[in-house]
Amino acid sequence: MKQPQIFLFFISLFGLLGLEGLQAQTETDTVAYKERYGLRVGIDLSKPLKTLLQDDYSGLELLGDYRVYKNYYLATELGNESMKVSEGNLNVTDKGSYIKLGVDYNAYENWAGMENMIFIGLRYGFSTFSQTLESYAINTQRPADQSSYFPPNIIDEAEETTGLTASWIELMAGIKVELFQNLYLGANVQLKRMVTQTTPSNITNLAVPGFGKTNDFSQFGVGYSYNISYLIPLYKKAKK
Amino acid sequence: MFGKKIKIQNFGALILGLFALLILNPGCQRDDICPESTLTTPFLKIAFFDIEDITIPKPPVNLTVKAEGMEENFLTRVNASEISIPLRTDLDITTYEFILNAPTTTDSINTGNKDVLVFTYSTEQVYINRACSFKVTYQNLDEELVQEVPASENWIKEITVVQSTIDDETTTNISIFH
Repeated sequence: MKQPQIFLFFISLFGLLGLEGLQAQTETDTVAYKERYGLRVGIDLSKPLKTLLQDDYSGLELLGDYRVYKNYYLATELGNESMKVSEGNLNVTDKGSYIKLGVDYNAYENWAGMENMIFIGLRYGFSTFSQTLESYAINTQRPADQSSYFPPNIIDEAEETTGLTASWIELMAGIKVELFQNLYLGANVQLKRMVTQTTPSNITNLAVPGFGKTNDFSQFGVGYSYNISYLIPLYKKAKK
Repeated sequence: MFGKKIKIQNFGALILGLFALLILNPGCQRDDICPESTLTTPFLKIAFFDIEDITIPKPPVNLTVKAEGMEENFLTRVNASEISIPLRTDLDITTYEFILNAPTTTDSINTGNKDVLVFTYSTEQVYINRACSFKVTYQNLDEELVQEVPASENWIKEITVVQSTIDDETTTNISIFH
């Protein structure tokens, strides 16, 4: 199951290497020109791909950003995910919707007429979801003797807890490169920290839509996105 | 950071660093293997005492312990004044045979003295973590010795429930006097 993720990682990495060529363009341009401001809307590519490749995952994410001032963009992601977490003795499905809101800062000095981005972003994420405890085994393992005397007790009556919520803070770094006129290909990585979450009464949240898999021993999570987006230019403004 | 334009080379390093973070995921312990030291479903702990002087521990001689319906013995011919035995997690009742002076497998004449003990309880499922899944703790533990005729056939003379909640490995739950 790890293979598609590794595959996507290398695609992202090649995308990143391709951008190295852009680094030569950091010369300051003295001629005044106008930059396009507008709304950029897009879709995450990695989630539909994962949906095709993995039986226990389905997801969709829409994203958008709006340039408000110089290098600052208001940014958002809206998505829906369903993911099964299988831990051998424990199977759980988390599904629900999420929204991320925040700001992107473009650190890339573009040539005239280009709106590429190498950015860092900050997001506040909020998810509303349900967790279904599909099946689990009662652990009777002993330190001295790993086998148990009685036959295993496996409970497989699905138990769903709805109305769960979680919120987190997310640090993002990535690129958006204009492939054709107004069409951008983007990739980013995300480091998240859980802020609040409500859990079912008898178990923790093993994954949260938008946040990804949680960790029993820390509040941190990681993620990535590979996306395509289209810029709808609204107005032009001279670069100062 | 935002006041001054950051160098693009540094930024590339930051992105690569975050990619590395994604792969290595430092600061996070492995959480997909249940450590052997984890306290899982506890056993019922039994201590044996002398009926003549109830303060003196007295190991039963060659005690074999076997749950009803199971093919294998849980304990075979042990001589210990304290034993720990598992209870069923899927039922609220576990019946055990306690065989004193239990025969060896080759001994066909001697059958030993079999006493049957019925343990009843309620169970509660407690989540440990994602790798270890759930365990069970037991409450309202009670016991019943199946009486034989005549009563002197029972080698177990008296039983006391010391602690009716089983949620650790160290507390003695039941004292048996013989």
